[in-house]
Amino acid sequence: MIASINFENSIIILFAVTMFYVAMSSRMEAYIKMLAAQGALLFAVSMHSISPSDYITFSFIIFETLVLKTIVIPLYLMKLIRRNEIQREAKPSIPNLYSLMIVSAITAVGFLFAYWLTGTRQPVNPLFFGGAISVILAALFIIMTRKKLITHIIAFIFLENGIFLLSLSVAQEMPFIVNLGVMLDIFAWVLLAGIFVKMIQTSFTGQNIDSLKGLRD
Amino acid sequence: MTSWVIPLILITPLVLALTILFLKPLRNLHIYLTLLYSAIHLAASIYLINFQESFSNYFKADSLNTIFLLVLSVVFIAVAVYSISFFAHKEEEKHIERSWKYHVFLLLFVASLDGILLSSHIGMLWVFLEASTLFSAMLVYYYTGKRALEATWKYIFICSIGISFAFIGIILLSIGCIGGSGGEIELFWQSLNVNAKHINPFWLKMAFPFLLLGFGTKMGLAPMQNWLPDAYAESPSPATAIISATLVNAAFIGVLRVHKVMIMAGLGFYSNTLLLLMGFMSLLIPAVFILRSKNYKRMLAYSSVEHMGIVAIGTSIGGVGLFAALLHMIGHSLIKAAFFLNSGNIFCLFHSKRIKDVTGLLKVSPANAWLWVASFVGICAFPPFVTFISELLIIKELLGKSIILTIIFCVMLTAIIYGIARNVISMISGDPRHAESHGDDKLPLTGYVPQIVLLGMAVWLGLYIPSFLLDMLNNAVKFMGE
Repeated sequence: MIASINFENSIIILFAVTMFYVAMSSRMEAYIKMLAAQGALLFAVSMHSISPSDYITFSFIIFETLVLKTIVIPLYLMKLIRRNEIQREAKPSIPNLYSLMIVSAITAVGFLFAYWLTGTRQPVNPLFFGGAISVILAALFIIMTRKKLITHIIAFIFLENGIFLLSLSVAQEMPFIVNLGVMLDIFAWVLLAGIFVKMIQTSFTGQNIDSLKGLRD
Repeated sequence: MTSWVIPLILITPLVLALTILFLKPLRNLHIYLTLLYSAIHLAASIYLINFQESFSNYFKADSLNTIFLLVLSVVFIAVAVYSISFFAHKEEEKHIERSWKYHVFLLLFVASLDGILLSSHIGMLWVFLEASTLFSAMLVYYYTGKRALEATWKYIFICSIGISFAFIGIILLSIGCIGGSGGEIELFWQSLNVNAKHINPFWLKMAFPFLLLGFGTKMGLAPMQNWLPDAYAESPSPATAIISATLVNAAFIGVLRVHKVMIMAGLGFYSNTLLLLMGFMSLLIPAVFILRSKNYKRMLAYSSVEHMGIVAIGTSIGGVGLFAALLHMIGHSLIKAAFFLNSGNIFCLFHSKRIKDVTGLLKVSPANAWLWVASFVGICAFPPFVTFISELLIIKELLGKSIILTIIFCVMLTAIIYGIARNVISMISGDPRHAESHGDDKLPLTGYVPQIVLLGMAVWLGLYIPSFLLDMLNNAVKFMGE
């Protein structure tokens, strides 16, 4: 039992730590590798918490975490950045060291909030909940402070990963049909967003959010 | 009772969209297929109003969504008719090669709106809301080019962030459903309403701001309204008309359904306060920005933010206020659709969306000028339009709650009316500045009839609300537990 809890704890902590690396780094490939790492960690944690006797949910989770989040989406984004020669994030709004400090503070607040909730006897797994809140907030922070459009897409998928973990912290599951719809929507979003980034790259001189200032009053 | 009408309106557009994809060169066929579906949609809406049926556990027609469905049908049929003239105009001829995209994504967009309206499960509503973003994004991107690209990117990104917030709200709500006193509660609206008192209030209070922010983003409520002026200004006018008149309503039904759960749980005060706050913020932003608007479609977009603010305020008041909010939603949809369709005519005549480029509309095209003025009178809630009745009811109810809020409400509305009036007057009066840019640009009858019918309906409802609609509105207010 202790070994089992320790395994789950380690996975969740690693999941939250990936955002520290994202906060520190400016390299696109590093972001995408972290995305794939998060997918693999979500796969591990899902396998640990879902009963294999429920074949449909089990295979669905394998497909969503292992196939889509760990392989297909990161490969697609990797191809996108290589084809468009996007190697590094533009100079961020705040230095990476401060980003790291802020993401650390966000993570601390997320876990403290989750443990405070456990004290009030709420039906959540504090580690799952804390990890999820931390990653969601950190992803929003990355969106606000980074300028490249591709980084925004990657950060949005970090956000979705955080939401996925949050849904794992709840014992009640969505019906299969809803889960399927959610997965398809997110996958379609990633494809569409990728296509638009490519078109923006072709139409505008930069790939930064700063270049999108043509529509103003 | 299991319905065959619900799958019909959900699946028919998919079949028609595929048909258009396979028959791209047959452009007239695309128009007729869209028209055919709009007629089927209207018939289906009327059927569902009379027989509130369900399909599987996930789709159900009820007292609330049938009003929205009817509004969607009316606006859709008007847009489908208007599209005949719009795409035939020489201004649009240069984009004719991609007109099939407009019809495909319009059909899919309407199907996604039907899904939102008829969903009886909060997760299913979310799935269709996200799908509506993806389909409408392709409508916003219709003209391609830099401006459309920028607008589409902002639209997709801001709405997706908003919709993610809504999903966080759904998860927090589901935690509340486990942790409450009544055992595990399913996320079907009916189950949530019946068991609302057993949902853990802490998680319900946590979930509501996320859901309001999420659905409010698509509704165009401040502070998440940034996508709206860009998307409205850059999409083709018939697409803008249907997005502005129906997408915001579909998101509003999400807000209403969650608000109902809050009322049933005895947390109505909490949700009313947040709705009131977002409502007033949504009045403040257009009051500031509408005066600076240089583009008439952006001006109309800010007006949409204002009207959604009014609807949110009416909803927060409850009772008669909610009745007025629903009536206002209907009036806004009819008038705003007419306004945007007419903006398409003006664009065809003047080849510009800039307010300063459009002068002397009365001399260039009296019919369009009068339609423009009539739409302005309606959107600013002057009599005899239905918006006058709904705003008057909201002001009366607000006065009973707080004089200060009523004064702020009236001051902001006055600022917005001034901003729109200034621009509308400058557009219709004077001499045409760019005489060479119009002249022989005659529009066919289908370029006017939809606006006349929509505005006529808005006047008719302002003078007399038919008993069937009155019953529908009263039933919807009762359904909300007010």
